Amino acid sequence: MEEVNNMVKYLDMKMSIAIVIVLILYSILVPFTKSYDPRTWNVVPRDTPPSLQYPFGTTSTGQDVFLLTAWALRNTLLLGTIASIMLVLISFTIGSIAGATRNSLLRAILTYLIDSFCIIPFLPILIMVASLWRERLGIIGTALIIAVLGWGGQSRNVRSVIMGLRERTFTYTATFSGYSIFKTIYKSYLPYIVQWLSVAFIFGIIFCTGLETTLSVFGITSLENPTIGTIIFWTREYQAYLRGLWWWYTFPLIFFIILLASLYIIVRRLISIFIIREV
Amino acid sequence: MSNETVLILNNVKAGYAIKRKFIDAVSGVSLELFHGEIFGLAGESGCGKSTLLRVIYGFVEPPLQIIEGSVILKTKDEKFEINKLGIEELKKRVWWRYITWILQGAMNVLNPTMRIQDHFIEMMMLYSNVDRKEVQKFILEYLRSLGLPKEVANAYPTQLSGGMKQRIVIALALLFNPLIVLADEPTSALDVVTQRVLLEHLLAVQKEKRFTLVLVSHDMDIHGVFTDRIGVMYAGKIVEIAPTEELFNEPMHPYSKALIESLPRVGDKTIRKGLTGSPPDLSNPPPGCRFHPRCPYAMDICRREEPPQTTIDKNRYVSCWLYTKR
Amino acid sequence: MSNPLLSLDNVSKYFGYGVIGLLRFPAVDGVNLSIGSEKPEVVTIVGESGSGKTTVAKIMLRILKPTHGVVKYLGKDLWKLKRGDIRRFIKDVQPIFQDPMDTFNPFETVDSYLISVARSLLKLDKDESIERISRTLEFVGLTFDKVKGKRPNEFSGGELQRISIARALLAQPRLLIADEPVSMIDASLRINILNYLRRAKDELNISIVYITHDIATANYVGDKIYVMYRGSVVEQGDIDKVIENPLHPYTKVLLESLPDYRKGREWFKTRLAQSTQTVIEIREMLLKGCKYLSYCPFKTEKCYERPFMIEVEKNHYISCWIYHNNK
Repeated sequence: MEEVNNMVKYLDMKMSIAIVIVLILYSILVPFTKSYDPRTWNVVPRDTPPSLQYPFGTTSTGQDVFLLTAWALRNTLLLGTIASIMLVLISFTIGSIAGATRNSLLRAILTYLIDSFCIIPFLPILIMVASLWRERLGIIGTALIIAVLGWGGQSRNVRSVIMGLRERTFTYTATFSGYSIFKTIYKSYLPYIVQWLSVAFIFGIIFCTGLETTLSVFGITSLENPTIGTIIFWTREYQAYLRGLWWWYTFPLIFFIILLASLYIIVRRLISIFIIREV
Repeated sequence: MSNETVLILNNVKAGYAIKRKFIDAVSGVSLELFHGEIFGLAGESGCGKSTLLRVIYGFVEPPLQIIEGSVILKTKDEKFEINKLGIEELKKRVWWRYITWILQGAMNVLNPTMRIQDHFIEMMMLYSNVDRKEVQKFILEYLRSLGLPKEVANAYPTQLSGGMKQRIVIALALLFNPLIVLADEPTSALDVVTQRVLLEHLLAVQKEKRFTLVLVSHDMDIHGVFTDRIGVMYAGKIVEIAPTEELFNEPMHPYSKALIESLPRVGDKTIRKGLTGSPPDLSNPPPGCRFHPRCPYAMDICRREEPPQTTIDKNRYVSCWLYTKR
Repeated sequence: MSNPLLSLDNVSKYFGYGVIGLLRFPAVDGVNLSIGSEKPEVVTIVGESGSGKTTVAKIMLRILKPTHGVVKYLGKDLWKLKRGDIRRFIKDVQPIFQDPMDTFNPFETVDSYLISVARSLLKLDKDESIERISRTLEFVGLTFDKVKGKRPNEFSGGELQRISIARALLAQPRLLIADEPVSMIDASLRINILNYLRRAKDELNISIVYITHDIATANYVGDKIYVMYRGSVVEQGDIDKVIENPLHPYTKVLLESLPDYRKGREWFKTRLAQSTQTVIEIREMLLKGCKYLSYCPFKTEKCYERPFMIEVEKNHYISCWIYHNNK
């Protein structure tokens, strides 16, 4: 009975992690099987429904949906991860300085900065920037723009976490036990920071992926790079819904939704584990 | 104080089933409550007194479950077996009418978006079909009769002090003139001066309306000035029941003794001794008498067998091998 | 006459509130306090929540900086100390906090704090550290084996508080600042903690600042008392004198409100000399006059001006206009 209980514990998180790993493998391995550039069109017969040769069918642009989905997942994940890393780095740096500093002027300036970026309507700006520089923005560029515009919310979070840590009783105990600042950060705060970082990172992937998809659906990013968003864009361009080419949009969408849902479950579980462990 | 019994607990066993453990919070409690008395339930954190209150009230939902025993409420006309009634039944027939439960932190229960009088009006409308204007008149008169200043009726909860909010909660609890009021640490969030005012008020109201009040508190001094009888709980068991004055003059159970003797008294600086160790884990309590690991008088039998509840006198009971013949 | 160990000279601490934090109210308002260095004494600060007593504790521990006034350690301004003096201060003055569960980081072992005190503050080597830690833990009824390698969640609240005391005593301080050390401890275990504090003063010659809302425990451990109300000290002096003969209206009300089982129902018969209020206003906290104005049944016109502390009898001081007239 004990073993069953241990297995069932956090089953949702374990399953989600397994799903994400499978999707990652899919996105890495499948492209290896065909060596051509995914951006080329008309490589295979167009508009064919799922068959043995093309398990997910083909598109109106002459691309294999099975391969396309793998590439899309890979690019989406890559972009989401890079953007998330950048976003977490920016928000953590600024947020922790804002939270830790005793200089009230510096704290006021940084708080003002953080709050401004929270309020900035980043979607319109994002759309504007992306449509102006569409050709020059690759994956890294898009990731950078998303990170630079969207770091505000997480930063507020970090600021309050750090400020809270500084006022915790055990910080004072550490001071009066002869801890140096570095020792306090390393031994007392690091576990909390690592917790926060892991949650913020995964959540960041969801957030940035969502943003990028929004842009692509509107046709603002470089559309030859297959991502989930660009697939949706092209299905609309070619009116796949009206023409009954269900395989073109269904498979990528399902994979995409499963990916995001799994990541979301992982984040929620992590948060609840961290809260329980604190107690 | 008449000798009518209003509540009987007969060897009640209840606890929480959490993960694969069972936390034995109420372990074989037998008790009788009389009409119009103030009964104090004393004990430290984790002894099971709040759980006992819930069991008396009948609000038993998983993970809390009653394993054994009966809780019987005797009103003038009816008898209710509370442990057998479902929550819907209790809501309809028993709660607010015969028993009310003022939980810990009850003042936070007040809705910050409703005026005080609306809380009462809403309550009344739930149980009667009277016209709203009539109800409003009645409520204003009711608040006045309890000595609450008239500004309070129109105020919002956030405008009131903690003490005043607590008085409102008590007024709500007494709206339908219940037979028994269960109060769980009603003054623990208040400062000492407000506490005094509230206790005075509560005592006056109890004397006037003659309901049975069960007061749960970890503060022995409050029990000493306020209650008629006290039940001392330790690790899920009632170890001693006695009239208040007798308990403080001559505590019999070693735990009651230690509890009373370790209270610092203003004006007295003599060194006192406390207990060693800490209360046991209720999911794995020690064998025999649950107090024996900390008891300075522990004998061999205490480690092996649980002492039964022994009647010392009228209204005086102790569960201890020091006073029980084998 | 040597410098007092720790002193607060007319210290005030303002906190901001309101929309942008521009409005300010004094959590601590013109407090004068000193702990002597000649012989060890237990100075108690008694007040309800909102009286400012925890803020005073933080000011004493150099955690908060006073807005006005000076806090001095052995005659030197705490906020103008050189690094070496700060190190000495951190060793000489040790805190004991209210919540034993939060005193230690849940991710660390409790002995890492003890070891840090021994190695960093006392500069002992490994073997000496363990020996000293063991001896100090014995003082509170624990052994090093019971404590080694364990995290805070493996102990009960009472045990953690004892470890917290041991940690403070380990540093061989001259002064302990105990902020409500028994409020979150079960009643039957409280007296043990209080006894450790008494022994710290009697056997180890350590002075203690004991902060609480419970006068009974203050009386048990204390020599001197400062009664605080809404940020100001209203009465102070030898604790026996103040308790036997309370002069300030607030102190009287405080003592009368203490339930005492020895009195039984008779306790309700004494009249509370206080007018009651139903609604709380923040404006009151900004009053220029006596802090107790709204509740005091003896108030006069003069009370709209802040009274100051005068000596009424030896070692018994009060801040109230009633007694000024009697001089």
